[in-house]
Amino acid sequence: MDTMGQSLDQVRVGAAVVVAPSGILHEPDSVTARRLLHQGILPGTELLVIRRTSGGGRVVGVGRSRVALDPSVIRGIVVSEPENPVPDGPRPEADR
Amino acid sequence: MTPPEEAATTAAAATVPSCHQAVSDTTDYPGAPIIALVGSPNTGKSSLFNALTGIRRDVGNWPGTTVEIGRGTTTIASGTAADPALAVVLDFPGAYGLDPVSPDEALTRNLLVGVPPAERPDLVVVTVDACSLSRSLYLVSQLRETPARLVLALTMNDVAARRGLSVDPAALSEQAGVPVVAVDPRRGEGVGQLRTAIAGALTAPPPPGLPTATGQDDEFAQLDARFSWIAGATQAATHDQGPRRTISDRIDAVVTAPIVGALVFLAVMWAVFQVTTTVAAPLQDVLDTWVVGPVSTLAGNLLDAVGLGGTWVAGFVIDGLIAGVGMLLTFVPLMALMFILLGVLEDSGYMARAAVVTDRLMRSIGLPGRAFLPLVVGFGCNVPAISSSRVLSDSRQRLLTTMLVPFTSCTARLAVYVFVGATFFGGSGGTVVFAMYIVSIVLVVLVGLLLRSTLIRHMGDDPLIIDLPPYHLPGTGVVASVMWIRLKGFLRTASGIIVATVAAVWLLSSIPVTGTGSFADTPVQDSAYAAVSQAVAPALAPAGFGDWHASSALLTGFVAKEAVISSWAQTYALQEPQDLSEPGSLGDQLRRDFAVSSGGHPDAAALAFLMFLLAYTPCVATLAAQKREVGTRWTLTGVGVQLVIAWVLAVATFQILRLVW
Repeated sequence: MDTMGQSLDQVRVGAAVVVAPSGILHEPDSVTARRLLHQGILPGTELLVIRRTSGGGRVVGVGRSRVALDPSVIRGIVVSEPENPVPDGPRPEADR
Repeated sequence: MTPPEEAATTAAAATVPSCHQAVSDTTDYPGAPIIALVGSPNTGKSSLFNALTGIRRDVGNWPGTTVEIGRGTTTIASGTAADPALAVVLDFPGAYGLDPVSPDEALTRNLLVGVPPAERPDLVVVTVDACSLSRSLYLVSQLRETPARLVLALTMNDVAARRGLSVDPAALSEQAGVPVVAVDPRRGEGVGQLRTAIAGALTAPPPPGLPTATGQDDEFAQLDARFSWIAGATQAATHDQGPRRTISDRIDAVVTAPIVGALVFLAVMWAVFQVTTTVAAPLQDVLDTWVVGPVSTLAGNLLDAVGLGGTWVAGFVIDGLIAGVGMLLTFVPLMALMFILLGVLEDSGYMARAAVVTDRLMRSIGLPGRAFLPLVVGFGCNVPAISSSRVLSDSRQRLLTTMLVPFTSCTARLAVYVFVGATFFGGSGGTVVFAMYIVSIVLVVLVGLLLRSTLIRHMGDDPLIIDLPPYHLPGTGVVASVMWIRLKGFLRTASGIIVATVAAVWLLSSIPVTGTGSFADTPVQDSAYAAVSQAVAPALAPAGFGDWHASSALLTGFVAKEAVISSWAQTYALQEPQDLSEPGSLGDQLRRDFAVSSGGHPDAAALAFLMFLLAYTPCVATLAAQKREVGTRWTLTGVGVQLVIAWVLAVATFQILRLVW
């Protein structure tokens, strides 16, 4: 499956992806971007798409955490396929 | 009017005291070191606060803000074990980082790093979640850059172990350069070591702090430095060999699923509503009967014995003081049950899922998903509903929800709808009652929009980004102690307000202003209470019920809506009907007076009266709960908003309907 440059809402449930460099399209200083940062979601973060929620959002796995994201949030996150899939453990280092 | 968000973001301003100011103002330990307890939500921070401070603690809003901060004292192993020194512990609201995203985080930031170093806490304990170490370390990475003494409390080790994950405190300590202690506050494990580590760190000089960024490029570089440190520290300290899917994931597959999740949520809300209405009611009745019966009789006998029977003193004690305390007491089982339910929902991890399920629906009316719970509970009773607004972690959202709950139609108002509906509309009374509930829901939505565009702006339409913590069984000790703290806080605020109001009503109705009665022995129509009601009545004339019997019933309704019908019965000196759907002679009297005051449109006036009754201040206990949550100023603002909306709604209803009826 090619996931190059997809936004997160187009990724199938069950797939592991990596947030692309400059993949957070939300305003850098916005509350949304900061909250994503607080949940450890930033370029280079590996995400596991776990399920859809009612209303079209997603629950994603960030390391061992589970984070629920609104549809408008996932549309603003661009992801690509992981180069070296990390099956478990901590999020890979930021690659900015 | 300064919105709380402004108060919080300008916390360094004179209105909001720093930790040292606030502590020396309010505790008996002015010289004790001050320890700030910070950490992300759901990292066991409050449990640790409970374990550290035991019963010596208090939970309330930070002075000048609506942000809740717990305060308590703990012993730290200083010098000899025989001579434990005390330290003051402040439990800050959950925060993922020092970037001010909400007023709560803005206050945390200001108290920790915004004020001059001498005003800051002497030491910061950060709770670090072993299950999601990298996320917990973001706050640590920011605090490392400041000259704060840090101690990390590593929590959730048992949950992590069940998921095949372990974090080595020694390795983490080496990476972070600060002491790390593994704790399990629920079982009290590691709390002693944490005290020792705190005492040790307090004697050391504060660290220099890393250089801070200035330009934007520097900020990016700093962000990079933080994340590479976090990644390195996480890698070095974590040992992971668990499966990726957990039991929580399997539960969530059901609980957050599109349709089934909504059904689960409705079932949970139904259960909460049942417990706060059906289950609480008999307990409340028992207490009420006990106060009205044996307690009042005993007090009467005692007063007789000392020769005060039948005097105004007996009237004041029995109808003023004891009635007021009795009213307060009937709220105890209700509030205790509500606080237990809240504790269970929060501690189990379900509240975060409920927020996900309801977010879309609530957002369409401009509220966050979690506001659903207080609004549902409000249809039972507004008082626990307002206290349950604590499920909202953002103080602005809490404020808005607290202002909206009074517009949810509680069961006390239902009794008046039924009575007025049967009196004026006979067989169509049921339709009227149903319509009132629809109006209630519409009011919540419209007033919400109104407030967001006027008094409570900058709510932020931040989209949902929420951590789903692993499920676990709620700890009985945690739930019980949180319930007790909240109940104590409610009683402390409510006791004065409720008893004073009930006593004031007794006093007004005891003072004769006309007729031949004497103090505490006068018919109500001759009393100061009737005089006040008469003075208010003209203001209600445009709504078609400018009659003192009606205004008197509404004044009584300010104390409690349960008393509206008995107030009518009292002012007409008629028997209160046994069955509310059989209004009898009281109903006849009401129809006659409404026909007169409305100029021949009694039905329109009756509907206007119900509109007013729905929208104005529910009861004095609601005000007490509001004062507890958002302070006096916002409570009084709320009363103003309610009265204006009630009046406008009633006048509009009457003036429009009288054209067609």
